[in-house]
Amino acid sequence: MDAQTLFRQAVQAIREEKDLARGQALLRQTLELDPHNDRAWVWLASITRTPQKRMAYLERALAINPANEHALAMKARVQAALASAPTSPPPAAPAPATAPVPAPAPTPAGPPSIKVPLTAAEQKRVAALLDRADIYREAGDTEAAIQQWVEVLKIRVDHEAALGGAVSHLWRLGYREDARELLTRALESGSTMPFVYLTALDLAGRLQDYAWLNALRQQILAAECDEALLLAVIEQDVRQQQMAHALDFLEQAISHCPDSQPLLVRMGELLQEIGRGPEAKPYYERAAALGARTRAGKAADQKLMGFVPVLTDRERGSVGLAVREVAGVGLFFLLAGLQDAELSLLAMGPRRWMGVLVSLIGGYLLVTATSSPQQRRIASWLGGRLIEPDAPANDSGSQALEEPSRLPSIPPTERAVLGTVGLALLALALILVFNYTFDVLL
Amino acid sequence: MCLAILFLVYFFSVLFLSTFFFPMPINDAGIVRYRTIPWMTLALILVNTVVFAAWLAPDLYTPTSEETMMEPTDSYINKINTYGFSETNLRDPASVGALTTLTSMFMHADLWHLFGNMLFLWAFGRRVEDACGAWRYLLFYLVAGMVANVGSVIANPALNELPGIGASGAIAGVMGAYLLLFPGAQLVTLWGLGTILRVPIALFRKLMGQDAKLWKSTVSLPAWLLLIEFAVENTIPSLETIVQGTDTGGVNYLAHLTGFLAALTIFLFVRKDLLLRYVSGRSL
Repeated sequence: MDAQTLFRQAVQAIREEKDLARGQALLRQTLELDPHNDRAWVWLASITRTPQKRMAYLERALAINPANEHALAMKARVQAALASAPTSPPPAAPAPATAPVPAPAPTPAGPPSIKVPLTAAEQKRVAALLDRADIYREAGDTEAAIQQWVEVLKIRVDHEAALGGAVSHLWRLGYREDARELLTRALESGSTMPFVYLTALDLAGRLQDYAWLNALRQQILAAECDEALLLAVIEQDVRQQQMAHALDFLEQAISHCPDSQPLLVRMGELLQEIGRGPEAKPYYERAAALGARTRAGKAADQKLMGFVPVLTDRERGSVGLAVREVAGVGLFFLLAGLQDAELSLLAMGPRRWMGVLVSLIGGYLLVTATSSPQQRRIASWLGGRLIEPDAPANDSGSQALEEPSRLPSIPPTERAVLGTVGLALLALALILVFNYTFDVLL
Repeated sequence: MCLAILFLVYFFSVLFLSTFFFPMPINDAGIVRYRTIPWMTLALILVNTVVFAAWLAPDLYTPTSEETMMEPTDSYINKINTYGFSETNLRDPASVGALTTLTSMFMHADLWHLFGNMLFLWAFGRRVEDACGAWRYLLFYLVAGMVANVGSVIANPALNELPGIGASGAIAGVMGAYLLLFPGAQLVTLWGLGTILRVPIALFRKLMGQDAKLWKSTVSLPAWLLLIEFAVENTIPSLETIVQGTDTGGVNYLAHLTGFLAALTIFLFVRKDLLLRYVSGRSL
């Protein structure tokens, strides 16, 4: 029998008859006749239990054909397995599956707790099972691979690789309810792993089971502000080009977790991505207001650098901030009076001090008329009324008052009067503080 | 024509020499948040320039005789004595009294004095004006200039009768405000030594396969570095003045230093929203 016929029989024995022992014997015969058959070395590696031996066979395959993709991929996996569990014993030889395993085996004692970390023995067993599942999968024996993954899920109900492998292959084989069963079991165990929810959402979408889909989304929202999970769901929507869903879900998430900076920032980003930039700004503002020193806070702060800053009602209505500006005006007049009094505060005399006082009053009137016409209470006393959204007030050339406000603003006529009186008082204050100078000059 | 060429040669030679060892800021590379034209900064530059060109320069650069070309005229000296700031001028009926604190801020001794000050005002003032708004910025500028004048007299134990002129005290205040508000900003500077020193570094980076420009006429430097250097440069002679007293004229380092310290009042003049962002540690 020639090498090629032996090779074909070996593959048939492994793939179809699940007879690994016969397959191994046939492969060895093949390689005795044709040691340059790289595919035979790869097959031999795939059914060999010892990682070191597997690695040696793969090296042989790659020496013959360095571009052999199967060999390269398997080598990488073996290397990773060796690196992650250097002291673990080699995994048990995969038992040949005698019958397809379409459905996951039920877990008799309920789902294993996800809170307890795996013991060393469990970790070894999981690694061995996953390794075996890979071998079966590569050999084309999907059912056997699924069985291995299900075994892993009996140990850790939400194991990412096992759950992902089992669900996707069950789906492909048409066992949709079994896939769903595995996911439901993981979710019922209280898993908060994002991929469990994401896979479940994906499956619910494919099954067009919108009730389950909505229930899952509500379940995610009800989970205690798990930002990573919420964001993962949103990213899934974004990847699937379902921006409306993403925004809707994000809005609900923000109403559940109003102090979540990452959610607020993501909302802003999404709005910007779809060209609704102005709507994004309040979300960034909210995120930045929650603290600018966190990662998301810094991100919000940086995003806001791209917008023209605006005044909030807190700043518009603050009397303290207006008085601060008045203090600046008063400082100017105090310094002027001080110099007129030969740099002695004691020599300033009542007229100059009166000048400083008048400057404070005039300054306050001017500031109220120009930059602070919406101070709380004062604006109402002076007949202030709410500004219509289509008639924004202006702040001496800046765009700072262009956002809608819920504070009343002093009417323009009253502002003009206040401003004029303020300027007149400042002129008077100037004469008073430059008492000596004007006396001499005039 | 010949005179113009000579002037340009002289101008660029002096500029080269004065910026070879020490960097001179010429512009601010930062973002202007409120997107307003810095018209108050431009107006201040214009007023200072017009005052010098139309009022002081004719006296300063008019030859009095063939032998004494470029000698300041009596008229120029009279102007300095009348409108310059000094402690004695505050009570001198021949001067404009306490108003000298304002008038002196718009006068400059010569072309280089004006050029240097206006360059610094442009480099630092543009963004400080943006942070304050035009009118509050003007008020801050005047307050800083007045604090510089007052400080230079109060802290100097000697009676300095020589009148001081120049916007440098007010501009030092603007620079200090810039340091407080934008410490992480980058400034574009003219710096001969830096430009030369950068060549081997750029060459090395090029050899390492990185993208680097071999020759660039300007150097970007962190604002805090330049401003701390400015503060230190003015502190040492100022301390000498405070301890010993001086009435020798020349550069008024004490006015620069007190003007720089006047920057602390900037928080009375910045925009409301900017102040709250500053307090909460956000970017301005």
